[in-house]
Amino acid sequence: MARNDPKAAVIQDALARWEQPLLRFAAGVVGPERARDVVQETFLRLWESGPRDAALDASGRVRAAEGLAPWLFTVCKNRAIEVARREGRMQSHSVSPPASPAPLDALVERQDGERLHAAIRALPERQQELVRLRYQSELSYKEMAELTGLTVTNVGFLLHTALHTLRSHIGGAP
Amino acid sequence: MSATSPIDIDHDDPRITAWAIGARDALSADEQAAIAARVAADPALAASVASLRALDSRLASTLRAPVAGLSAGQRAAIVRGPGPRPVGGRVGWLLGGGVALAAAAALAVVALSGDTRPPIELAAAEAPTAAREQPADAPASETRARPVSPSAAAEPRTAVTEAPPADSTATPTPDTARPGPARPDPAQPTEAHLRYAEPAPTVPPLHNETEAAGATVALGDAAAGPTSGTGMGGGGLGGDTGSSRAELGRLAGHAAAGGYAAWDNDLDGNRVVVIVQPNDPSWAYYQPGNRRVDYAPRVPWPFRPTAVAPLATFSIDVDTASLSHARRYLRANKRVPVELVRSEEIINAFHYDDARPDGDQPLAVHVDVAESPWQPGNRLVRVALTARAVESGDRAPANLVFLVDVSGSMNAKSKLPLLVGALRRLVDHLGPEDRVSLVTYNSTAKVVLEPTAASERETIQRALDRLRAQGYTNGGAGLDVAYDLARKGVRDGATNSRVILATDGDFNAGKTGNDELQRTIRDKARSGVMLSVLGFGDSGYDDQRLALLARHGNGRYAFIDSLDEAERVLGKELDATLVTAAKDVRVQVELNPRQALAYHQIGYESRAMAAAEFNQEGKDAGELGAGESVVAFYEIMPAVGANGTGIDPLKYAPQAGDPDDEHRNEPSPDAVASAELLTVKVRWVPLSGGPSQRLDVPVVDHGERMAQASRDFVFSAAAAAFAMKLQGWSDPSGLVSWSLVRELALQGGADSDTDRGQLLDLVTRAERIYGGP
Repeated sequence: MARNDPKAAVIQDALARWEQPLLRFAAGVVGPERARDVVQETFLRLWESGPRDAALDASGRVRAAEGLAPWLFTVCKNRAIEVARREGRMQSHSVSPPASPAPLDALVERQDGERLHAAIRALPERQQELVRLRYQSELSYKEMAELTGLTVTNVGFLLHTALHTLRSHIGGAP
Repeated sequence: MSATSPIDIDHDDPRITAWAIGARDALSADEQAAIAARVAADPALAASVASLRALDSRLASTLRAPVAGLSAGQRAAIVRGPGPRPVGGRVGWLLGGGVALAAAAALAVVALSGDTRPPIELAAAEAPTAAREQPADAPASETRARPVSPSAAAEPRTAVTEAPPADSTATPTPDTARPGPARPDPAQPTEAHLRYAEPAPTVPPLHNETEAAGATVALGDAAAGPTSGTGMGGGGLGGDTGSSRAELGRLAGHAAAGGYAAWDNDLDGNRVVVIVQPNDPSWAYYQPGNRRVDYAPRVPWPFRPTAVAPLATFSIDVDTASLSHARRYLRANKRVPVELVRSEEIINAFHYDDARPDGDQPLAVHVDVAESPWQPGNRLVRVALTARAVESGDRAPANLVFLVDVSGSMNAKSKLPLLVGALRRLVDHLGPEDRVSLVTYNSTAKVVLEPTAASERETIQRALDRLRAQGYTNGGAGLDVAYDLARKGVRDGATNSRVILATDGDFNAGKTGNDELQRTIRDKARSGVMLSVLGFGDSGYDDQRLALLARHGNGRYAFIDSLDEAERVLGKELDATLVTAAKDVRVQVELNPRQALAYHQIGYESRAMAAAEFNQEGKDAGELGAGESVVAFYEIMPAVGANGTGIDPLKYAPQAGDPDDEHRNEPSPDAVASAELLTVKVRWVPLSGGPSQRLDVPVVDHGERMAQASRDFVFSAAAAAFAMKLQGWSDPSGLVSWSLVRELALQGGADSDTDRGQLLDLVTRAERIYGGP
């Protein structure tokens, strides 16, 4: 029955688009296992509420898509933090192994990926969050602004600073 | 006004970073244009932008690693909505027994659940409209009369059937006269509408399957949870879904070979049945009782069991943009985004020599079968449709309206200058009778060149040279003006009126919604004006939208990344671009479950149609241009006892004929049908309009090896394998390796043909970027 519901169609679209970004995002808070539960609950919440201004009907698909991402990420973040608090394992906001390597270890890190992760961890928290939202969660500037409460200009400035710092740390080499 | 006011951009402006990493939502069109100009003028800044882009793609590839997705059960629960949480069950295993299949096939997987969408084949198979079609008369019977004996198989056999003249009264289309749903033939039982269907199905009706599978979704949760795997072994199918159990058992029986069937999730998270053979790389993974570490999909590619989904239906796709995208990314040393990889477009971007139909016949169908190059034991079927070519100078004069995007976003080397060059090429190839006009759009649309004879080259080129990019994009207004102009041409007697839209796809004002745009284009297409789309540029490019426009505008879509590509699309293949040979071309392949256990269609995923749509009049599908060819592949896992397996046909398997038939030794029509591997059915609307025409080509597999296959076969298989690699099919045993792709390309003539040679170059680049076997 639910299958023919237009809302189900919207939710299906949302699932197709945002499942992976949300899982990556939630995994940074609660780890990959619990992330799946958090994301499932996030999507289920769509049934009850959803973004305020978005009409969740078939004709409103396009409009729904606009406010949808920030809504999903806000719900997901709150839910993930709640779960992490409850289970007492609030970790650093990171998908990679949370242990921060000692400076000497960092020198011997040969994997480019690890170096990049380390460089990201060294960024100020706000910039780190934006880098992750941009790359792990594939959000646009506007969506990031809505989610974080910053202005689009601020998002642009912080990301700009973050990327320039990262570039200077790891070099621009591909 | 704002379009011309200078925007002050400092070299350390965050907007440059936003521009470099493609965050166009943060920038206005004017800002983008200003930044593009600033970067173009400052080499140091250009270098900085390049390194930011390198960092951008590194960050994306490092941080965007795929993570284990939700289970099918979780997804189903989400779509079902809140309610009681599904109760966990267990994963069921069904051991199959029986003779080992010598050339055992790998995996058979079918989307049984249809959690989110009902399997289209199932729904359509039940449709009462599909009365049994007799094979088409004359040409088709010729093919049926092909020797069925496996002797003298010196070279791959090709079933070639040519379509009848479009306006001939002797068209082999017995059903075109039928106004509505076909009436069942009283001589045939209605349930025998499938050519290869078994007469007395012991399997419950298929819709029960779907429901049953829905019920078993609850299993997914337990299987996928952190403690998954512990509950495996010996269990039933949970939920006691009798019909699913029956179907699973039957599939396992078909697989025989000491293999077994199990549930799993496919790449899309659909619930699937997996049939595993002992020599399969996934054997250990699917062993009952084996603990599953995680549930990332490890299915090489989804095979569909023929018994459940015997029909594959799709609209042809003649676009070639996907190969241009691949070229662009690989040459920039980047991975090709998966959503830009459409295997059929990569295969069809190359030229093949399959014979074009003679005389008045609009199209021909060629079917070849050979051994699968990447999975010996499997069969690979190549279906090629070719369209009649037009003699040079024989083409009806064209009335072309160039609709050129001159908004600020087009202000880049890879856009407007290339576009002007491309349109010049096109004008060079036009005949004196052809007419050209030029409409530009940015914030507004205007006609900058009224219809002009193509022979007045200087006038046209002057108009092209005057193009400048600035302002916003109002594609909708441009489309209105261009279609009006083209329609005027139709009224003045031009039979070949076409709008050629050249853009980067960034419609950021006016009719922006895809749905609305699609409706508009469909309305406009009714006037008989065709729309071809040329895409340009490498940032902010909206591939999906352009593909959509061309599809609904009855034209083709090409991505122009270089003057070479412009020359190919607008020079060598101009006829295919300008002349349509057949409209609304769709293909339906019916596979014979007695010969094919399971199959996998390569490409046309985005063009899939419901089975019932194949016969529906007025159904929109792809257009085939003059002299053009399109190729589809099916990889087939042969059934036990199928031709070429070296195993006797099964005595106790359900027969296609009456099981109580005392005259079993006499070949009956059904017995002939049962020797066939599949039937390719093609339906199209003639250019002159009128009811659709149809062609059936039954195909028997004679067991050819790859070494016997034609150059075209081998090369197109190389292109298919290349696309599969780019799509990232998981291929743990390295069956489709880069070196295999290279070897096939070479055997297919990549070393002696410059067009094909570029595949070799792309494979070499891709191997370096993607790595792996």
